[in-house]
Amino acid sequence: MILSVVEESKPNDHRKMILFVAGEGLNSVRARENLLRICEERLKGRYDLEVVDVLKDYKPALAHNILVTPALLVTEPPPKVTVLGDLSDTRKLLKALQLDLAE
Amino acid sequence: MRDGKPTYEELQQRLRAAEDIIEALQGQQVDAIIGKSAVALLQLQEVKEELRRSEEWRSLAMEAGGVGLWEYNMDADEVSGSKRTHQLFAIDPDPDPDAAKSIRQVWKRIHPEDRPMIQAIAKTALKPSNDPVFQIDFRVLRPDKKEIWLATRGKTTFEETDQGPMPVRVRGAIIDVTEQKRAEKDLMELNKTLECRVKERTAEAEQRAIQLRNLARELSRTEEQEHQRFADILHEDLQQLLTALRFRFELLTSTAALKEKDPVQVKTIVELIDECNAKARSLSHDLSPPVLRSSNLVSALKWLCGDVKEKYEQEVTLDADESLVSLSLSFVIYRSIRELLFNSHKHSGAGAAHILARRDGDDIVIRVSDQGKGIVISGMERQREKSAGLGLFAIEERIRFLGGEVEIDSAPGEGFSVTMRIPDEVPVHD
Repeated sequence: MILSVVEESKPNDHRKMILFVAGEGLNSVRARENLLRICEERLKGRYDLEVVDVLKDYKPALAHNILVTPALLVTEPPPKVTVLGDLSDTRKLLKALQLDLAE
Repeated sequence: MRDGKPTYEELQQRLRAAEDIIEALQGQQVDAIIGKSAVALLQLQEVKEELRRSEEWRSLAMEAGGVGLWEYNMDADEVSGSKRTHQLFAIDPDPDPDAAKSIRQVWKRIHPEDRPMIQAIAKTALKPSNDPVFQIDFRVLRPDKKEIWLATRGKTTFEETDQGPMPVRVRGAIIDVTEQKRAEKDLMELNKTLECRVKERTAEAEQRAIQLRNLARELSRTEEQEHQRFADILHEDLQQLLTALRFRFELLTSTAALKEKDPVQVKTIVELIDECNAKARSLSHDLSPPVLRSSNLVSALKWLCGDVKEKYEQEVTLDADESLVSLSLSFVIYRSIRELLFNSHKHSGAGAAHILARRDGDDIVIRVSDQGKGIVISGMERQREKSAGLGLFAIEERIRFLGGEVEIDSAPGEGFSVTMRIPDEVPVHD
């Protein structure tokens, strides 16, 4: 009961995510575009995004159990969620970011 | 999970992750696959070709998590799988790749008991109207007689045809969950063992309780017998002696000059003898009411109502089931009611009380109530601590020993009522 009250009055509003890409691969470029568009529209100033290029260093990807790119890993708020592909499925992306479909 | 092994749930997560990868690959949304030590880059234009070539990479990537991949092609009626899948089914693809692709080869490995379930799930997943994603846990019997548990998640792909959507292939990921299933089974068995033990202990405790109750009943029978014996001594010996004494004394005074010499003394002696006799009779009746010995509980209670009215001017009404006539507990019940009526007379100030005696299933329910002053129950609890010997609490103790319950209901100005519920006969277990 108390927990839900706290959550309501102070929502966990900050998103932390890592986008794994492979250089300028077409899917990777699209994923970056799709993600940035949603972030600008819906999360202005309320997110940290780290972009990891696996062609330069793939070890962070393995450390996070990421086996293909592009892959978006949302680390906060929990639970951790991974979305694979070019992020063109807006519905799926919003769900991973815990955002409402409407608005 | 202990010793760092992944739990069943974690393995299921790995399977779901593998399924996501398959989907992304099918949707041609992947541009690189990350292996244990390198990255394989895929060009979109030739992704289909690359997908085939990168089979090894995919396997490598999946096997990092112990996940095997498989595909069933409906048209060709062929199954194919990654290296890990072949390992799990103990099928060697090398000597005869065609045989390895036969669905029969795979089917042979599946535990016969699990086959009907797999058929049923497959049938459902192949219908376009149903959820194309399915999950199955099943057993595989390997040639080395080893039985392992596998969990698989798969998805059916449909293609539009003239006859509507038709299933063309099923793809899935597969993982070994033997350890987790074993742990699950062990846990279930442990639970069963614990449950059994609890049942045993409960049965033991119940047995003890029954023994104790039987003992309590035996004790109250013995007590009753002792009371009878005392009552008999008082009645048959002492009273007879006193009667004889009076007779002799009267004989003596009628002939001797004593009566004329000191008539007051003589009268006093006779009165004292009479008083002794009355006391002995009353004591004898209290110890073992003759009415209870010669008739039954209901008659004895009727007599008690009259007796209380005569002795204490307390009006007592009785509402009793005639079926309560012959009870092994008559003595205890009678004495408890007498005690309660006496309490009511002493404390309630009501001048009237009511007895209810009923049979309720296997129980006997007795209620003694009045409309008197009542009492604060919590105040009574305090009193209980001070003097355990108080009449009411002695009754409570005794009824509980016999396996019964006592409920006291009262409030200041709202009367006082005691309800006793006693099991008639204790089941005998040996």
